[in-house]
Formats: sequence, C-alpha cells, structure tokens
Amino acid sequence: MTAPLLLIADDDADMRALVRSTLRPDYPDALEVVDGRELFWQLMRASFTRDGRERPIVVIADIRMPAYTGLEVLDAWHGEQGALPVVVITSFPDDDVRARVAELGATLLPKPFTRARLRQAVQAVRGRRGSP
Amino acid sequence: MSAWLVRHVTGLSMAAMALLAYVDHLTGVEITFVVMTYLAPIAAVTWFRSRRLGLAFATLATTCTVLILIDTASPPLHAVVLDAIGAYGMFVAVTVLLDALRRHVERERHQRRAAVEQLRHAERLNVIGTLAAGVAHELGTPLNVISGTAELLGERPLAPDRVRKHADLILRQTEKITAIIRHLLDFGRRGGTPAADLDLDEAVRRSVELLAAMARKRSIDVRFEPAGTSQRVRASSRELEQVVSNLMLNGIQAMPRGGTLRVATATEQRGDAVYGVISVSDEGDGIAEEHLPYIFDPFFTTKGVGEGTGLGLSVTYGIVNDWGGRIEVTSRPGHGATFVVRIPAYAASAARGRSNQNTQPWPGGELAPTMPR
Repeated sequence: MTAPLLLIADDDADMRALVRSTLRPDYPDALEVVDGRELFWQLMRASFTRDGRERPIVVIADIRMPAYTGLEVLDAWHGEQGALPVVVITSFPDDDVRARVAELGATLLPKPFTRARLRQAVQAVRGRRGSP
Repeated sequence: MSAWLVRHVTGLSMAAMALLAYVDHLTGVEITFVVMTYLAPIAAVTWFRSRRLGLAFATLATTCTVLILIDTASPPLHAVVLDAIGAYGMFVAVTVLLDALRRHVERERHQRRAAVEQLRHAERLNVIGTLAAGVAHELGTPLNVISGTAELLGERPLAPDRVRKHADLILRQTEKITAIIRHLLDFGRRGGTPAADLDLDEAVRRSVELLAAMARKRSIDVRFEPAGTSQRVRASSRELEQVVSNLMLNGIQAMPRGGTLRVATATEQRGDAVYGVISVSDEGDGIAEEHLPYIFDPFFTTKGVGEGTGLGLSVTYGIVNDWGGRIEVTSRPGHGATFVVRIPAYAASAARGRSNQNTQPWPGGELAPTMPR
C-alpha cells in the first residue's frame, strides 16, 4: 500500500519546506503549490487520473494565499466532489474560520505549530477518512 | 418622523378642532364651550411633551377662542380690529409652530450625527481587529518556520552544513519579522524624525526621481510639474519622501495598463495661512465610492496579495497629520484618482528671502519639465 500523496499549499517557500521535511518519513511523495488556483488544478488532476487504483490525497493548506484562499478552494471542492482529508493552517483562527473548517470536516492547525502537532493533525484527518 | 407624528397627533387634532370651532363660529354654530373643555387638558398634555409645540397649539387655540368669545359677546366691535387680532394670532401661532418644527428637525439631525459618531467608533474598533488579524497573518508564518527549524536542529545531531543552512533560515525569518515590525512602527509613527526647513519642489523632485525608473518599467510616464516658487515647508525629508513615494506607488499600482502619473506642487494661501501643496494624479480606474471612506484605514487594500500591505496610505495619512497638514482624495470611477497633500508652510515673503540663497531647481515660470524617458 503506497502512502497517500501529500498536497502542500502555502505561498511561503520556507513554510512548505518545513511541512514537507516534517512529514517526509511517512509521506515521501509530496506536491507543493503556491496559490489557491494551483491547489485547485492539482486537485482536479488528481481526480482525473483516477483509474481504479486511485491514490489517496492528504491536503495541507494555508488560508491566506494569492488568487484564491485555501478555504475558498476547499469549499468549492467540498461542494463539487465531496470530503477530502484536509489540514487547514492559519495564524488567525477566528470563529468564522473555525466554523468553515468544521463544515469541511477538516482539522484546524493554528500557527505556530510544533512538528509533532503537524504529524498528529495529518494522522487525525487520515483516520477520520478511513484512508489506508 | 412618523413616531413624532404619533406623539403629537393629539396636539395636531386639538389645533384642528380649534380651527373648526372658529370656522363653525363664523357659520353661526356655537360650540366654544365643548371645544374649551377638550382644549384645556389637551393643551396641558402637549405643553408637558414639548413646550414650544404646546405653546404653538395653545396660541392657535386661544386666538380662535378669543375671537369667538369677543365676537359673541360684543357683536358691534369693529370687524377690522377683530381681523387684525386674528391675523396677528395666526401669525404668532404659525411662527411658533414652524420654530418648533425646525427645532425638532435639528434635534433629529443631532441624534443622527451622534449615531454616525458611534458607528465611526465601531469602525475604529473594526480597524483594530483588522490590524490584529493582519499582524497575526504576517508574523505567523515566519514564527512557525523559526520554531519548526529550531525543533529540527534539536531533534538529532546534524551535519555542520545542514546546521548552517537551518541557522541561515532562522536568520532570514527574523529579518522578515523585523521588516514587518518596522512597517508597523512606521504605521504607528513611533520613530519620528526631526523636521527641517525643506524646499518643497526640491524635496518632491528627489522622490519623483527615485520612482521614475520603476514607473517607466511599467510603461508609466511620470510628469513632474513644480510650482517653481521655492516654497519652503517644515517637514522631515525622509517623511516627505515616504509620503510622495507612497502616493506615487499607489498611483503606479492603480495603472496596470500604463498611463501618465502627474505629480505637481503649488503654494496656496488660505486666509493668513500658507500651504505647500503636493498633488499626485493617476489615470487608473479610480476608487469606488464605497471604498473612499476606508482608503486611509490600515490594512485596507483592494490590491492582490503581494501588491500592497494595505499600510501605505494609512502611514501617509499619519505623517501628514503629524505635520499639521491635510490629505484629501478625489476620484471618479473610471477617471483616476487625485491625492492632494497640504503642508503648513512659511509665508511667501520668507520663502522669497530664502530663495536668494538657494539655486532654484526649476526657474519660476518655465514650462513644467517632464521626467526624462
């Protein structure tokens, strides 16, 4: 069983590198995207290449990104395609953000987080989806 | 207004009744006694609700009643005298009534003003919230990278070059945080620089030159139109540079398809006060009317991520305020925007005296030079 593909969406390169290096032992394959538009395209591509041997995805997305925010993309995806295992990263988790993240069935990870906390959050969303 | 009508409907009906009684009297029907029994209590109630309105109705009613009584009691009394008393009474009544209405409208206007003031306060609180969110967003990422990298360094021994790489990363992030803090300090105007006696044209020209190259890259033609009066203003040159470049940057970013950015200076006399004026006009899409009240608010931006922090114009606003100056913006959607800064200046005579000691960058009266392309 291959490990799920990690989709890391953040406009800050250092942040993407930190997330990637933290999760590398469990998730060797990761794709980095820098804005909301690219996140959407990568989600589309992943869904179109499904051929019976579909590979599960785990999304780790920042909210504040150029083009579209992480929440806008995930909301749209949720409405069209259904739930995804998602960890939403933000430095300003207000009530509105909490409510929207809960609606998505995602896990909220406020910045700054420890590496252990990130691993836990990813583990939690995978468990919830019943992914392998 | 409708609430007001309901409140005073008794008074109005009373006045109507008094008028009716007068008319009835003229037609020969005697109902004075009935009217009076209604009038007295109603007038009292109205009086306690609103002195002036009560006075108006009472005067109106009394005039009618007196006319009826006099006319009934002594029919031979001369009709002209009666008419005069009636006309005068009506005049007083209508005047007082109008006065009462005017006062009422004024009171309502005052209440509305208080409500607007309250709204502004709420907006200010909103600004603080926006500011907090902005700071959290800006600082969250570098802080997280620092803490994560530090964790990484502490987890297990690493090769020296890896350690060096991580240390560099931490340094870079702290620089990022320092830059954000510097911006915030600029915004809060905590580190003011001393004001000096500046030649307005000269100081603005320096800032224009700084940004002309950047504007050209975006196919924007910068035109500088100095007043040529060697007007002197009291401001710090660093701050003046910041104000002009912030306004120019704003104009440049407002013209993604290129165009002409005009920067002009002038001297303006308003009563005894003299102002050095800087105006910056772009040919962009202009500012939507609903955005105008927020244009100087911190973190208010209509630009995309990475284009502006939303602090530029509020920093500018703060600086100009510190000078005791004013900044205004006019805009028509589709026709660009013009920012006008007025800085308290020295009187023209003082400026002339000083100008002799300085070489003038642009001789007065000469055609405005255009920045070299």
